[in-house]
Formats: sequence, C-alpha cells, structure tokens
Amino acid sequence: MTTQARATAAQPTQGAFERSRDHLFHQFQEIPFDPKTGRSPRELEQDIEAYLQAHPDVPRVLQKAHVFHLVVTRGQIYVDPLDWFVGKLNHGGHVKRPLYGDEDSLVRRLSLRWLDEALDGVLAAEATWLDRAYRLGQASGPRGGLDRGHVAPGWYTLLSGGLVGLLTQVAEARDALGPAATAEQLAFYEAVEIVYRATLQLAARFAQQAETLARAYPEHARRLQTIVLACRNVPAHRPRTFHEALQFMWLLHELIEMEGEHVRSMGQFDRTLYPYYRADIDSGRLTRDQAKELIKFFWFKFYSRTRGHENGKNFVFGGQYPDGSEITNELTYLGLEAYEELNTPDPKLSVRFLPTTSDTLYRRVADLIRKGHNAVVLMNDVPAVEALVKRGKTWEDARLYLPIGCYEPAVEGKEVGCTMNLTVNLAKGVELALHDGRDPLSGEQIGPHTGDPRGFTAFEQLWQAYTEQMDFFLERAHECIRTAEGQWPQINPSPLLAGSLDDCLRRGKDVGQGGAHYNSVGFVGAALANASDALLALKQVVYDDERFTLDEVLTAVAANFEGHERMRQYLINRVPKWGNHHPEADRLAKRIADYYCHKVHTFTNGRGGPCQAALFSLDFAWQGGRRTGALPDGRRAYEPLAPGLGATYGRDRKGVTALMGSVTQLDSTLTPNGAVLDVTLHPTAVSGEDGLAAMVALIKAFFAQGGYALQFNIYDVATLRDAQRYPENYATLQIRVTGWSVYFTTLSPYEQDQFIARISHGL
Amino acid sequence: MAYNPEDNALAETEAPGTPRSPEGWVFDVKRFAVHDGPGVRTTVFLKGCSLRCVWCHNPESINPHPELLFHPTRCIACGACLEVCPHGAHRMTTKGARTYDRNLCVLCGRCAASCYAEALVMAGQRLSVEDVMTVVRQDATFYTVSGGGVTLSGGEPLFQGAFATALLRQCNAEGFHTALDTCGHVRWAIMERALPYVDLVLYDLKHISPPRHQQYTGVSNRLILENLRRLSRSSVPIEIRMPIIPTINDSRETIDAAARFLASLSHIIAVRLLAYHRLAGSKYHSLGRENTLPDVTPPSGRQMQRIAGWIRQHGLPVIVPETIDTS
Repeated sequence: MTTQARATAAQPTQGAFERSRDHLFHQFQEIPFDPKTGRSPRELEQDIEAYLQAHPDVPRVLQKAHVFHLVVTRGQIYVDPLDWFVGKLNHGGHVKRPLYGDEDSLVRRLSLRWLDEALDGVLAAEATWLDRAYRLGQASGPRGGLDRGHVAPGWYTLLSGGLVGLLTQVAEARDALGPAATAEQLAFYEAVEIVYRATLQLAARFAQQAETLARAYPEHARRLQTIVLACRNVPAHRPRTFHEALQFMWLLHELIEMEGEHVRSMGQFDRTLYPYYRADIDSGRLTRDQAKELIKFFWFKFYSRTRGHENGKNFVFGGQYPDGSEITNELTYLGLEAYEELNTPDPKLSVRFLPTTSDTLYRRVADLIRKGHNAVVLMNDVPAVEALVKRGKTWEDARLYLPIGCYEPAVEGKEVGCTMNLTVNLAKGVELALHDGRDPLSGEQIGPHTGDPRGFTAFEQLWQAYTEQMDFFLERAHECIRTAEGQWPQINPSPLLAGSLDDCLRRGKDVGQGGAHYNSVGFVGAALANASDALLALKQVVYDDERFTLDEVLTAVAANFEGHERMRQYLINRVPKWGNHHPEADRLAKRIADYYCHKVHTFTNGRGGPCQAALFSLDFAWQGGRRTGALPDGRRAYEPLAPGLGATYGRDRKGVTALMGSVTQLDSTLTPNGAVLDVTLHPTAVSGEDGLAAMVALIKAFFAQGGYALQFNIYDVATLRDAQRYPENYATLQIRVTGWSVYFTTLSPYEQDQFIARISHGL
Repeated sequence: MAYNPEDNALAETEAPGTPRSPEGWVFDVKRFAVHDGPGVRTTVFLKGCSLRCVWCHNPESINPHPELLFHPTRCIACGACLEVCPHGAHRMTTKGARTYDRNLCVLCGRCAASCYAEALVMAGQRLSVEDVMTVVRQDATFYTVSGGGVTLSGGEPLFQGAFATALLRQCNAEGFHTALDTCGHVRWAIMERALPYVDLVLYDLKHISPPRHQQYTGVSNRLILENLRRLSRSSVPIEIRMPIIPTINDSRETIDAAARFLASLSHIIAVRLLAYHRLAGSKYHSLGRENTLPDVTPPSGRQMQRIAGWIRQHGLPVIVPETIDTS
C-alpha cells in the first residue's frame, strides 16, 4: 500500500458499531442482491446442471471446483455501504428455513447429493446400521458416519502468504512430483487452482462493486474505498492491516462453509491477528478503540446470521506458541472487552490457560462469566497438550491446538479432526448387559449374547458383559466410519479447505484422502455418570450387600419403577454417586473412562490416523436420554442423561469442590478430543471480591489437579422465574445450554422449565 | 441436656468420646464455603448453642444432640417409619399423610435409617476429629490456591469446647488455616484454650444494648463484650460480624454505639454486615418448632450501605455483601 493509500484508509469512528447494530442485525435477512451484478441462484442451478451433464466423467474434485467457480464468479453479490466487510454472495444458501437455519448453498447441495447417492448405494449397509444405532440411543452422529462438520482451516497459513502464496505452493508441489504425479493428484492441484483463482476473482468483483457504490454513496466513500483497497490485496496476499486480516478471514469463512465443510473454529484470535493489530497500532493507523469497533462489526456477523439458534462460532484466546511461550497479549484483553460489550451468545470463546497464566486473565474471564457472558470454555493446556502428544502429535504441533466446535481439540492448520464423528452412550451398554444384548426399550437384539445376568454370581461378570457389549458396538461403529471415510473423496471434495492445511499440497491429496498432516476421528463418550452410577448400584445392592436380588432390580427397572418407589429411593439415596468425591464411586467411573478411552485408542481411522476419545455429552444428554430406559441407579426411563463429565442431575450433593474432586480422578491425558465439566453456581457464591477470588480459585485448583476443561452457569432460580414472567426485562440473559449459550427468553416454556429444574439441583 | 451454666457450654463430662480423643456432634461439613473467612474453605458446623436468637437461620444447630427433621415434600408414604418406630411416634392419617408426635419420640434414629427417600433425617452426627479431617483434607488444593482453610461454626462451636479445640489443633498441625466463627458467649477459659490454634476469629455482635440483647437472644451481652475485649488484647485478628435485622438492631443509635465500642478495641480487621433473610422458615417447620423469625423485610442494598457508612465514620473498615449486576 502506498503511503498515501495508508493515510487515507479509513477507520470506524467511536460508537460506529452501536449506531449500525440494528441494521447489521438484519444483514442476512433478505439480502438485496443486485440482479445486475450476476446470475440468480435459479440461473446458477441451471448452469451447474448443464456443466455436470456435459462433464459426467470428470473427477469429482474437479466437478466441485468448477461448480464453485461458477457460483463464485457468476453469482450475484451485494456490498453494504454501512458495513466494514464484504462477503455476500448469492450462492443459494441465504433462504431461511424456520426450523433448520439456512438452506444449503448450491455448492454444498452438490456434496449432499453425492452423500445421498452414497448412502443409498455403496454405504447403504453402514448407513442402515448407524441409523439403527442412532434411533435406539446407542449413539448419535452424522449421516452415514462421515463428519463433514468439524474443521479449522489453516488460518495462519492462509493469511501469511495469501492465496497467491498458496498457488505458488501448488505449482512447486506439482513440479516436485514431476512425472510421478498421478492423475488424481493432478486433478486435485487443478481443483485447488480453480477455486483459489475463483476466490481472487470474487474479491475483485467486490472491489469493483465497492468502487461503484463509493460513487453512489459519497458519505460512505471513505469506508468503501478502504474496502476497495482491501479487496485488491486480500485474500490474494498477506494482509497489510488489521481490517484486511479480518476481511480475509470473513471471506474465506463464507467460502469454505459454502464449499461444504462447517468451519467450527476461527482460530487463535490473539495469535493469528496479533501481528496485524500490533503493526496498525504501532504505526498509528489504528487505535485500540477503532480495532474494537472492527472486531464488533466482524463478530456480529455470526450472531446476526444464527440469531443464537446454532452452536456458536468458536474463537480461541490464550494458550501458547509452539515453543511453549505464552500468547496472551493486548489483543486477548481487547477481544474479551469486545465480547463483553457485544453481549451475544455467538461467537463463543475458548480460553486456554497455562500454569504461568497471570491472575489478571483468570479474573477477567471469571468476571465476564459471572456477569452472564458465559459462552466461554476454559481449557487447561497442560493435559490438553499432553493428551494430543500421546496420540502422536509433536509437542510443537500439539501446542497449536484449537477447540473445534464446542470443545474438541485439533492442531491448527495441520489436522482434519472429524471430532464429533460419534457420540457414544456409555449407559446403553449397561442396559444391554442386563438384557443379554437386547435393547429393553425397543425389544431389538442389537448386542451380542452376553448371558442372562441373573446367572451372574459376581460383579466382575457383569462388568465383563458390559465391556463386551461396548466392545461389540464400538468395533462395528468404527468399521462403519472407516468405510464412510473411504468414500469421502467422492462425497465432499474440499479443495478450498485443503489448500490451507499442511500437507495437502505437498502430498497432492485432498482432506478426504488423508492429505492433512494429522487425520483423526473423534469418539465422544457420553453419560459416564449414568453408566457408573448404574453399575455401582448393582454392585452394592446385589453383590456386596445382597440387599436386593438382580431379579428384583430388573423387575423394578422393567416397570420404570412404578410400584417400586421405595427401592428407587434406596438406589438413589443409599448408593454413592459419581460427583460426590466418594472413593468407590470415583474408582468405578474411572474404570469405565479408562476402559472406554483405551478401547477407542486401539482404533485407526480410514485415513490412517488415530481415533481420539472424549468425555462429554452436549445435547446427547437429552436426545440419548429419551432413548435410554430406566437404570438401576434410580433414573427413570427417558430422563436426561448426565451433562458433560459431571454427575447426573441432582446427584452431586457435596458441592462443587467435591464434584471437581471426583472429576479430577480421571486421567485427562486420555481424552485428547476433550472433556468438559459443567459447573453451576449460585450468584451469591461468586459475588463481591470474595466471590471472584473463589471462582478463580475453583478454576486454578481444578486445573492444578489435572482437570481438562470447565464451563459455568451462574444463576439463581428466582431470576430465571422472573425472566419467564417478564421476558422483556431479560432479553440479553444468556444461559449455557451445553457447548453453547442461548438467550433464555428464546427457549420455549418447556425448555425453560427443564433448565430451571436442571440447575436448581445444583443449588 | 447436660448444659453447664458456668461454662455456658456443654458439660465436658457429657461430651462424647474421651478427653484424649474427643468426639462431637456435627450437623454439617460444608465444602466450598466462600463467605466464612478468606479463600475457599470448608466449614464445620457444630451442634449446640447457648443463645436463642429469634432470627436464627440454623435452628437445628441449637440443641447439641441429634434431632429429627421431617421434609414433607420428600415423603413417598411408604410407611417404613411406622413399622420401625418402637414407640409409635409415626402415624399415617386417613388421607395418607404422615404425622409425627415428638412427645413419643426418643430420637433413636431408626426411622431416619429406614427412610430411603430422606424425608426423615437426623440432624447431627457424632464424629471424631479424624472423621472431620478426612473431609477437610479433600480440598487441600483449593485452600492452597485461594488462601483458604477451615472454619468452625455452628451453633456455637465452643459449646463443645474440647472437641472444637481438638479440631483446631489438628488443623493447625496439618497446616490448614483456621477460622473460628463464634458468638463469644462461653467461659473465657474455654475460648482461651482454643485460641492458640485459631488464625482468625469471626466474632458475632448481635446487639450492643444489654437489655435488647437479652430480649432477642435470651442472654445478656456482658460476657460476650467482655470476651471480645480480652480477645482484642491477644494477637489474633478479629472480623466482627453484625447481622442487620431491620427495626431490631439497625437504628443509628444502636449502630453508633456498637461502632464506638469496636473502635476502642485493637485487632479488629473488619466489620462484616450480614443482611437478614427469612428463607430459613422451612427449617423451623422441619424441626416442628415455632418459627421465631421476625416478620420484617430484609434490608435493602442502600440501607446496608448507609449503615456501613455510619460505621466507617468511626474509622472501622466495613464489608458489605455485594449483589451481581447482570443487567
């Protein structure tokens, strides 16, 4: 940029965001695409069909790339004169469907078509098996077992050399292979070139449109000129300014999602963006407040699209560089300030803590959360990094982990994690073990015959049956997933994403072909508390104390405890439960966790990489709960399963330190894919200076004892009841549902009651 | 009950355990106590108190011996208590609700043991020092990280003076910070015996006026104020705790008189105001006792700040509980 251009680059004025907030809130509602700027989605659809018809035998990665090119170079665009960022392309995905969010873009629809084809064809057997498993509550997961929804692009890689830099790498990689390059590899390289060049064309189109608008809206000319200059530089080249860096990320985010993978992590905010921020501040181009305005314009895009109805876009703060030095800097605190002022549940933040992290950051984050900005996950770098190293990452790489989605780490720029490939119901194995492999709710024989448990004379036999049921399920599920992965290149080729990840270009392989440096599949273990509480109840009442026979318990369970309330109360109140720091309960839960993690870690995925275990539940707590029958710990059929790593609702009765005491018995280095504890506290516990210090102490002590990650809900029931009665007074009250937060007043009355019931147990 | 009026405490000959291994009646050991002294603490609640404050929030703490609580919402009407009670104290009404005649009850605890739904619960357990320490040790990391420790409270912890002292001594020995939350109404020698093991005293001051104190707590405050003077001549830091009950002890006159008295003492590190609340009503009900909680509105934040201001004018630091602004 010339000195003159630098001098004229505009910056937002103080309060600019607030003034535009209402307008920006509607930015994704009925976008006024100008027909003069290109072809409508209907017309593009025709173009796409025509292309596909004419090129049926072209490798799919190239078909995808061409379709991408069609949409991106020909589709209508819109530049909003009030916005600091551009990116609105009419790709067919902006139509709202009331319950399901956006329509899929034309490009993504192609992948979905290919997915349907595979599910009906080559993956039919696996899809059927997995569907039944999902239906019966053994697990949940993506259709067909292929996780197309949990990646972090290589933001750092993208920004450092721009797309022109990556195009150079494509050429170099192809040359390096020389005549040994296969047709597949060449097709891949060509596809990457096509999509990257198309992207550059799109940027040029935005620049041109912005220039046109600058003439039409002289009062916005300075901002529009800044956008023009930005789009002429990014994403082609490395950004020259903080604004350009954000613009780069926004555009690529839109395009990668359009291409067909959900972008779940926006990277390490205070690492990726820091050099640009620093340079702007030091040169006087930007003030701290102006930077904050830009962050708000940028972040608000996520919320204005989802309105809090999706899981939130994850931005990471804190953490460390590959050499172990701490990242936390001015941008960390600026980001947290922007987040607080924005007061939306989307984006959501993850903050990584090291043993050397200053008290200032702990206090800042704790204070944010106790004031209600609770879309924050706090992560403990020590076990998180070590867990990844145990699964084959180098220390330097592991330090670059990003939580993908809600909680699950992947190495930035080098890993395709498929982190939510399967969520496994650990409690279902208990049901199956008690019924010789038959699922009691549906009556279907879905597990192996492990014997009539009435014949067992010792707890160890029941344990044996449990692990056999779980082994059988996990092994089958793993096979299905491997098979699905094999079809990935045919279903969802992703050249745009692939170019940003090591080592796809070097190897000439797409993400679906295992081109990335690390390729993982995540197996999430849910309902640990339920499995453990149920097994311990049987151990104690049937085998240790002989208080009831197994037959008596099974009869009660079959009746959903109707007519057996006294026994149910005994099972609930007289048997120790997970989450109370009771040695025997903790030992058994740890035994289950160890078993599960070790089992998962014996698997290799379809792309040759490791499978990684996690322990949490997200919304499977409810989904899976509805498909799990009554359990011997007193839980009735269809009730929710335990949230995250914690106790079953209402069973943790010794307070938060006891809950943490239990959870820190688990080996966090066995959960490379994440493990999160939900903590519910009453506001009085964290009020005042005492309360803030107590909250910080909880976090520090939890981490010092090896805990992996935490999130908080801080409420009293009275406030929530009041919010039900007078929602207009509580429009911005956020609650932490599970891996994401929502505005309480947007929930249905039923959901609100459920949440209140859930948290009043913890108080 | 073996109350020793000279000690204003439990007669030491009646205390459970032995002089070498004293035991005590404890009604709760609460982990993650945040407002009972600095840092994250575990608070041990001892049973027994020589005061009868009308606003008491822990009525189950007054009697040193275990007693029976009944929580009607938990009752599943299984009838087990009827079956096991040797004295027929439990009855079922024609409508299927359970009734209980305390006059027939000998507090044997059999009904509580058989009540799986935990509608009938014995408040108070006999514990040894080691029993308590087993729980205390579990949160050691939290104490270290937060500068916390153990607080003895109740009831009046010194009501079971020997047991309280043994607990404090053991906490000391294991390196845990100790706080003693006391009303001061015991023979000085009992307090003095415990003091070497106390790092912080939380001292309750309910009313500065002797006749008002008698009216609302059943005892004069003479011994309490005397003990406070003696305490302030030792070196242990003291945090004064003043419950603020509107119309009873919140007048300017009362507060000023209390503050004047406190300002004359050394080692008072702070005065903490505690706002009255009426949420403990159900506890009285569970105990089958008359609810003596005054029917007054809890003080507002502004009232509390005003009172704090009056006290600060005497040169004393004041801590007022905050509420979180979530707007």
